[in-house]
Amino acid sequence: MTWTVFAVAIFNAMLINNVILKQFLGICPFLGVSKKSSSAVGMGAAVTFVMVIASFVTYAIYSYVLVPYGIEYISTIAFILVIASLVQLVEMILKKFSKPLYKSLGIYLPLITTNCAILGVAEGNISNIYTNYGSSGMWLAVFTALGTALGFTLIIFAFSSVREKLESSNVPDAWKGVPISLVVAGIMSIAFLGLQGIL
Amino acid sequence: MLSKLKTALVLLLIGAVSGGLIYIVNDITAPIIFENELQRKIGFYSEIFEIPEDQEIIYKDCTTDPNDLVPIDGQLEEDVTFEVRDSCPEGLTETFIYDKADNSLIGVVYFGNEKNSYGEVGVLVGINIDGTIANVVISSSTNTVNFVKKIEKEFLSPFMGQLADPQLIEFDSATGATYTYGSVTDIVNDAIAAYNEGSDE
Amino acid sequence: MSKKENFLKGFFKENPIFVFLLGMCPALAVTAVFETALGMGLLVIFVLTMSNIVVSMLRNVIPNDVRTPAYIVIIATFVTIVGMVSKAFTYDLYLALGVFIPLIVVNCLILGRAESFASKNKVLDSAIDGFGMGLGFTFALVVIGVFREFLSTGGIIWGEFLPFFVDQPVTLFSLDMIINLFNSDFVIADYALNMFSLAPGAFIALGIILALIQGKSARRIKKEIEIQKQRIVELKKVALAKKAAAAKLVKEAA
Repeated sequence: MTWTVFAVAIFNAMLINNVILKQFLGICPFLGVSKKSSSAVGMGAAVTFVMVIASFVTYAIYSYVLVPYGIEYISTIAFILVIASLVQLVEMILKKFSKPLYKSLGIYLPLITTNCAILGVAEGNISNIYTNYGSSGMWLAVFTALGTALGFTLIIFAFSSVREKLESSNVPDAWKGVPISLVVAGIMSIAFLGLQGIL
Repeated sequence: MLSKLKTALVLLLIGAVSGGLIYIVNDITAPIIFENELQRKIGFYSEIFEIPEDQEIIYKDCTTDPNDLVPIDGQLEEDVTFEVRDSCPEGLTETFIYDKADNSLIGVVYFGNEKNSYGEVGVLVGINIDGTIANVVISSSTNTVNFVKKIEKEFLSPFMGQLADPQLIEFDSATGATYTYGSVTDIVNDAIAAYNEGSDE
Repeated sequence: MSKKENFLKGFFKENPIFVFLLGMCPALAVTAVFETALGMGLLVIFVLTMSNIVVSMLRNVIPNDVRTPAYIVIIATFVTIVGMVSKAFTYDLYLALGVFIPLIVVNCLILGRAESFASKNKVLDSAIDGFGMGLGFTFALVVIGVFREFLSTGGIIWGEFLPFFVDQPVTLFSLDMIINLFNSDFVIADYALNMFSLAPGAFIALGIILALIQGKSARRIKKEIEIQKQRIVELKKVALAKKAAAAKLVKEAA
C-alpha cells in the first residue's frame, strides 16, 4: 500500500463520508457538547485520541484473536469492552503522566464510552477494510480512524461556532435551541454533499 | 479482599452466562442464516437466467472452495472456455452457474458492490455463454424502494440481450436517482470487462 | 406512580427522542424508510425490555463499583442475540440497518434506563418501564420515518424489509391513488422531494418535527401563563374589594 492510499483514506473519511453529516455517528456529543467552541475542540481532541487507539486495538483483536478461533460473532461485546477499558486506561495514564492534558481532556473521556462514533468506526473498519484486505489492512484502518476523528473535530467545531452566533440571534420560539441547530446541521450536510463526486 | 473476590466472581459469572447464551443462539441461527443466503443466491440466479423452478442448478464461485458449497460430480464439457479462477476479478465476485442434470454451463454471474453518496448498492450482472447480457438485477440497495423499481424498469431492462461489449454503456445522469444508477452502470462496465478478460483465456 | 402511568410515560411526557434527545443516531440514520424505522424500534424494544429485566433481577448482586461494565455486558449480549436473529429471519432488514444493530449497545437510552430505573426498581416495574420506553422510542422513529418516506417518495410501502404478512411489497398509501383518479399517467415519485431520503433531509426533517412539538408546548405554556395572570388579576380584585369593605367597616365603626 502506498501513501496515496492512506491520503485518500483520510480525505475520504474526513470530508466525503463525514462521520456526523453523512454516517450519523456521534450525534449525542454533536448536540450535547457543542454550545461552546472551546469544549467542542476539547471533545474533538479526546475523540481523536481514543478513536485512533481503539481502532488499532479492535482491528488487532479481530484479526488475531476472534478470526483464528472462529468467534467473529461476539465482536460487538468484545469491542465495547475493549473500548470501555481503553478509555479507563487512557484516563489513568493521562492522570499519572500528563496533568495539563488530563485537565483539558479529562472531563470528556467518560462520555466517550457511549459515543457511538468510536464503536461505529471499529465495526465499519471490520466490514469495509477487513473483508477486503484481511489483517494487512491494519494501517489503513488506523488512518481511516484518524480521518474520521479529524472530520468529527472539524464539524463539531464549525457547528459550535455557528451555535454561539445563534444564541444571540432572534429565533422564533418554536425553533429555539435544538430544532434550529438541526436545520443548521442539515444545511452543512448539503454543503458536504457537494464534495461527493470528487473521488 | 473478600469483596474484591466477590466482584470478580459476579463479573465472571455474568460473562460466562452471556457467552453461553450467545453460543446457543448462534448455534440455532447459523444454519438458518447459511440456508437463507444460499436460497437467496439461487433465487437471484434463477431470476437472471429465467430458469424454471423445477430445474435445479449448481454454482461455483471464486471466493470459496467450490467443494465446500455444492459438490459437482463428473467433468465439465470440453468446449466450455471458462475456468474458475484462483482469485476474483478486482471488486467483483465471479460465479459460474451450471445445470445440475448434465453439468452444462448456463452462464456467468458477476456480483459487485459499490458505495455511493446515498449508500450501498449491490448488483448482479448475468451473462449468457453466447456473450449476451442475460439480466441485470439490483440485489440490495439502501435507496428507497420506489427509486429502485424505477431504475429497474426504465434503465436496466434495455441491457437484456445486448452483446457484452466494453463500449456498451455511457454514463447518463438525466435521472432522478443518479447516484444509484451511476453505481449500477459502473458495476455493469466492470463485469463486462471481467467477462471479456475471462473469455480470452 | 401507577403501572399504567409507568407504561404510558414513554410516549409523550418522557419520550426518549422528542423530549430527552436520547438515541439520536438511529433516529437520523435509519428513518429514511418507514419500515427500517419500525424494525429498529422493534429491536430496541426487545433489548430494552430484556436488559431492564435482567438488570433489575441482579440489582442486589452486582457490586456498585463495577455496575457499568456489568450493564454493558448484559446489554451487548442481547444486542448480539437480536443481531443474529434478525440476520436469520429478516435478512433485508439486517442489511439495511447495517452497523446500527451493534450500535444499539451504545444507545444512551438503554444504559440510561438501566442506571436510572432498573437498578432501583422491582422486576415487573422495570419490565413495564422498558417496554413502555421502547414503544415510545419506536413511536418517535415511526413518526420520523413516515414523514421522511412520504416526502421523499409520495407514498408508504410495506413488505420490503419486514417480510411479514405479505409475499410482495405492497403500497399502503400513495398520492398516486388520489391523483390517478384525475390524471392516469402520473407518477408521484418523479416529483418527490428526494432530499428527504438523503443525509441533509434527515437533519431537516427531525428539526421540523421537533419545532412543531416545541411550538405546541410553547403555545401551551404561553396560554397557561396568561391564565395565571388573569387569575392573579382576579385575586387582586377580590383582595381590593375586601380591603375596601374592611375600610368601609372601619369608617362605619368610627
